[in-house]
Amino acid sequence: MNSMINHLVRKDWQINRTMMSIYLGAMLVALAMLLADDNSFVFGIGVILILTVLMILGIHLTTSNVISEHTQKTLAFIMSLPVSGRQYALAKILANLSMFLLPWLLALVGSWLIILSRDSLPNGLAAITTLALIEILLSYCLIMMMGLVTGSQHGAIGAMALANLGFQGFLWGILQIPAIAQHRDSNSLAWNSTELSILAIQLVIIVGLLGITLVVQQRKTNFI
Amino acid sequence: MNTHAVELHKVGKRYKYFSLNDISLSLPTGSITGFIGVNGAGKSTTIRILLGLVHQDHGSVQVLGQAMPEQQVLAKREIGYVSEDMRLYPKASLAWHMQFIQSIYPNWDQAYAEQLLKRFDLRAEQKIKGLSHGQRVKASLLLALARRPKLLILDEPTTGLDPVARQEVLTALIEVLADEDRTILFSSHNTLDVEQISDQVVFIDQGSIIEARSKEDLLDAWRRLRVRVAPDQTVAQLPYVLQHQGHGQLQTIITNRYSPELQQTYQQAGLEIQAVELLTLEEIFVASIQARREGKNL
Repeated sequence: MNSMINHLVRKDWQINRTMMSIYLGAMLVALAMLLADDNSFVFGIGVILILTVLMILGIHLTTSNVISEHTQKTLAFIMSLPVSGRQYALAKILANLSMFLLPWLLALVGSWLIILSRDSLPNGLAAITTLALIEILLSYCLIMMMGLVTGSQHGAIGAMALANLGFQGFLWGILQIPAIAQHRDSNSLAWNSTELSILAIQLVIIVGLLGITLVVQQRKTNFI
Repeated sequence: MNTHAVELHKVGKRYKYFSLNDISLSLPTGSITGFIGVNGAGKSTTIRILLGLVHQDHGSVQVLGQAMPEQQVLAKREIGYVSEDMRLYPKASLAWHMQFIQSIYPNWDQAYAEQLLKRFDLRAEQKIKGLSHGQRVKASLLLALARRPKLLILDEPTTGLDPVARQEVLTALIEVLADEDRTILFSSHNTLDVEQISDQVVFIDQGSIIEARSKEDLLDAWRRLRVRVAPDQTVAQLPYVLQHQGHGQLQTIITNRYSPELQQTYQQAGLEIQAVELLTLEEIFVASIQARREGKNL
């Protein structure tokens, strides 16, 4: 990786380390709550907390690490360094994605371990849990893209609204699909073709969003 | 070594309510250029084009031998930039910023940075959000100077500073001038600051460069003449009169082509010259802008 991109990614991690510690701590607490009986109140709160932590982190990262570069006028400082617009965008994507992916992976691996280690939870739940978490990742990529491309709070808020509606709609929608509903209640780990197709579409959209962000950034003629 | 650190040729940029009109400008290597214009004249747009932060619609831009914006990464390795509009990370300390810049610029001079810390009365461990505006400007200047750039671009750095902080900043800049290879572009609408440190002066107005030459030549060419005029005489018809004031026998003329020969021409035309006065840079700037807006050729 280009050393300047490396510097910028490290810089974002250093600037946001306190915030990241809080979110990682909250995620660990949420995962610890999943150790409770899966019919208990604490378990339910743990699931809600995992989703909440990821959603709030996505919004927080975009406002504090993308939009604030514009509103706090630190973008001029960064862009005066030996960096191109494309490198800046790439560094922002890498920094934000890595910061989001760390608690996201904790949630993914943690939920898998809980599902697979408990007889009371069907193994088929792992697929829908994964799809739901990837949908949250997709929502975050959309919010980050709008934040980076527009540099405005309005653009990011619009994307947040869209992402929230999209996530609710996604959950409601996939539960209406018989193949997914049946697999959720079964003990089979193997993904069916419907789930794999949805996963593929999600990954294509994520790659597309990141690609569009880079292309738009590269074509920008005004950076500040 | 390039003889010019910066060369702009017919550079244009169009916005909805403002355009930069085919500006051409050359900054000799080692020069200190004062870039003067009213707010909205095009100073910041020009500077942003120099840094590759804004891409010109047409025209060529060379900075330290690199074509902009294409080669901006190479050029910016040798550029220090401070702007009144630029902010450091509020939650991070100055020491963190120093380490960050040091990790990027191999020319970083730690001893000089510490010297500047003392001179500017800054504490490295202090967070940026706890600094006053003047301290923030000085911190930005420290970060730009200690990387030992070949080109220092300062966009209104003294705006909003109290007199003491302003003088500290200007003194630091004057010391930097000892390095003959370093080129400085200093934009301001405060002509007093520019007059103190610049050897070249550029005036910009409404997106066009209206004057670009050495400060000495400029100050030398402009004069205010206090003259006694015959009742039937009109001074406006005389050559190189950019402004004249008064309607009676005693009038003042401002010219931007003063020479003993011109003075002789006025005397031969019947004017009695009572005094010839130098103009300050501010007076020259204001007269230039007014003359241009009245459609006169400078």
